Amino acid sequence: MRKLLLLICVLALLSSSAIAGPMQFGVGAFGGLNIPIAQFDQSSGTAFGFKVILKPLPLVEIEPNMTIGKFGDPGTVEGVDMGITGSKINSYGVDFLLGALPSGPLFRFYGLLGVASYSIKNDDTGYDHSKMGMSGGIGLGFGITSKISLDCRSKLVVAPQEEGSKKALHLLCGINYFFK
Amino acid sequence: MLKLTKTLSLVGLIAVALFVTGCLISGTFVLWEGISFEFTAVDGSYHHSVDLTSNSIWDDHKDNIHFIDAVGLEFTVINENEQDVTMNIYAAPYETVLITDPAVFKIIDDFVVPASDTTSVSYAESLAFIKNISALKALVLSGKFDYFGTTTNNSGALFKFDGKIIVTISGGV
Repeated sequence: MRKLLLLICVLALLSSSAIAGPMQFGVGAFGGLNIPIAQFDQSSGTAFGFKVILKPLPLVEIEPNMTIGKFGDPGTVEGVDMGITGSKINSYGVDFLLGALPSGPLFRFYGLLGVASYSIKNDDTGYDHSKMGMSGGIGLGFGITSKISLDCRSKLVVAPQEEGSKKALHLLCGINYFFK
Repeated sequence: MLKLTKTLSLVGLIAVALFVTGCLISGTFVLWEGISFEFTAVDGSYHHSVDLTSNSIWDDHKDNIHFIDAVGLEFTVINENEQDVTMNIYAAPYETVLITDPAVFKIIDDFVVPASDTTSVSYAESLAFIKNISALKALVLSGKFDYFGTTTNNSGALFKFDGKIIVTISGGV
């Protein structure tokens, strides 16, 4: 499955040669909140990442990306001072945007679907699992200039584990630069 | 075009919702049960059962407990003997009768409590020295298990262990 994901990323990066018409590409950085959902052994933390932006069509965007996230320390749970750090949740994958980011002074809403390899690890408990997962959400892009845009998105992440899944809500804002 | 964009976005979100509802009905929960024993006899063992199924959190998710994410202990040991006492704690399947049963395995190995002292260990500290954690998780997943406590170098004064076993489970919401 990881090889398939890598293949998707490579195809996405090479897609410019297969699609007629002008295609934009750029890079972006983002960061924000990492909020655990139905995970009572974690608290809210942060997530940061980087992405490549490929815009083969005006309203379609493909974003290979890498995200480094961490949950907050759980603190006291059910009366027990857990005393451990929050888990790390890192991913690399591809997001597909329908609506895309604006170039030029525009506002634009978009929806997104993503697939990624999620690694969840806790150095204190020894928990360490990696598996393919999915995400989805909505966002709002703000074009500043023809090359620079900002965007904010909320993204529900579902990372399957050995049994069940870990879920989080990412509230992210980022800045993007289009080379072309 | 704007209407198409909104429609596609909505369809995408619905597709995600339909997918994730299959995975959304699960979460990670923390529960604990008390573990206590005390010795006044010279050397020997203490035996008791732990029933997690009577815990309200376990009971809420009992039909969908998928995995044990973590197991740890939080405890305080009082040693009123005039010498250091060494403690060992073992786990075993439910209703194991004897500490010599082959299914019994050690989870705390040679924990020394200084003479005339009280020692406390936090959940986080216990994670570093619990032994046979995979076997312990498998046992905990069954919901009921036994534990044995032994001491050596105990001259008969009070030796008291008072603590909790703390379990993090992944289960259905």
